[in-house]
Amino acid sequence: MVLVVDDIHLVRAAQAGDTAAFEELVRRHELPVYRLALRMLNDASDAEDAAQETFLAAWRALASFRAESTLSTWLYRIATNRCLAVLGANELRTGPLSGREMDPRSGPEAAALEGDALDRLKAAIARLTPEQRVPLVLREFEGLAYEEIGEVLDLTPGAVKGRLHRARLELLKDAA
Amino acid sequence: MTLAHDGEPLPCGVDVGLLVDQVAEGLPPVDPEHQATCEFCQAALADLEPLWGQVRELAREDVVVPGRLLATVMQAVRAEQIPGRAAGLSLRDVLPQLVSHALLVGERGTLRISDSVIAQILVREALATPGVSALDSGGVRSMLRATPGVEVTVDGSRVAVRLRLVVDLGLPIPEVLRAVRLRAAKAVRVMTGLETSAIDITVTDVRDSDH
Repeated sequence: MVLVVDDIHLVRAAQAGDTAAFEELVRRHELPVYRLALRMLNDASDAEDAAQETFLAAWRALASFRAESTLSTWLYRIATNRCLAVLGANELRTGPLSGREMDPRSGPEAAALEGDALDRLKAAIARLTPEQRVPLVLREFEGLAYEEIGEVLDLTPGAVKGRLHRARLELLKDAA
Repeated sequence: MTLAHDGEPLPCGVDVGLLVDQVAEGLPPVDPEHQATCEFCQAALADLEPLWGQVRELAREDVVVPGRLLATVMQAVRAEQIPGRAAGLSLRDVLPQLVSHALLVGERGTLRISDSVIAQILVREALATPGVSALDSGGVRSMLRATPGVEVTVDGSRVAVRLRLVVDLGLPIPEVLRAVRLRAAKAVRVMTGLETSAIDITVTDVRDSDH
């Protein structure tokens, strides 16, 4: 029989300085955190960096984790913010006044347009505004409920629903 | 393609958005009787299903976490001088600032410039000013930002800036700071069209530039 220890027990041990407990938490949550970053950033190397930074930030702030939300929601929250920061920084690389919004079909995504349907879909997701992309990724790829997405983003479930709705329409228009 | 009519209902009066959510969430139709017999609804659904099928396919795609992720994280965790417990940081401290954008409303649309863009311009200008040795990345709060030593607050088209600098020993500090202010304000204006409402500078250390 395998004894499964709850996240919260591991969190308490890690809060007391037990790095092995934290390691087990990283092992449990690295897939969703990395996958979120990958869908948000559409770049494996950026996603790896964002996932690393997420867990390091989580370790540093672990003392403040109060179990009011699940660890998974808390990690999604940190990861989402990391990704938004990366997306913000990328705007400089593409030139401050010629960002994606001005000409969404230029830039690194253009190459992906020639790939298969899933590559085109990934590129279309990458063209959504970050505000629309986050709820879409959390809902469609991470399977979170509106309430959980609201916790991650500090939004009411109703506001989440609205953003998600616009994101879907935008995505379908783009992919059509 | 049905969706090309942005925001407009189908000829039968049904909102395309409702059909999108029906397909995406797997919900039952709002008006099953109408939908079953309406050619417009059926055509829209026939377009939507395969498109959304791709989203579902992507959701099923296997994602493989790079094998070194765990080891890299744990190496950093174990190397931390201050264990998480003693550091006692709040989530707010370790989250990077939420990205916010400055807005420039023009005749042909709105330009949005993220605060991190402005921060990076400021870093470049500060470091290019004679007498500035470095930006102070001190403090865990600041360290986690993409641009340590710079804090940018945007409000519409106005930008307030806080810089933490390490300056070289030898030059008069007020003159160095005046030069930083002038350069920073000019660069932000020229590169982004935004005005700086305040540039607060804290000198946190000096360095002997002969070393």
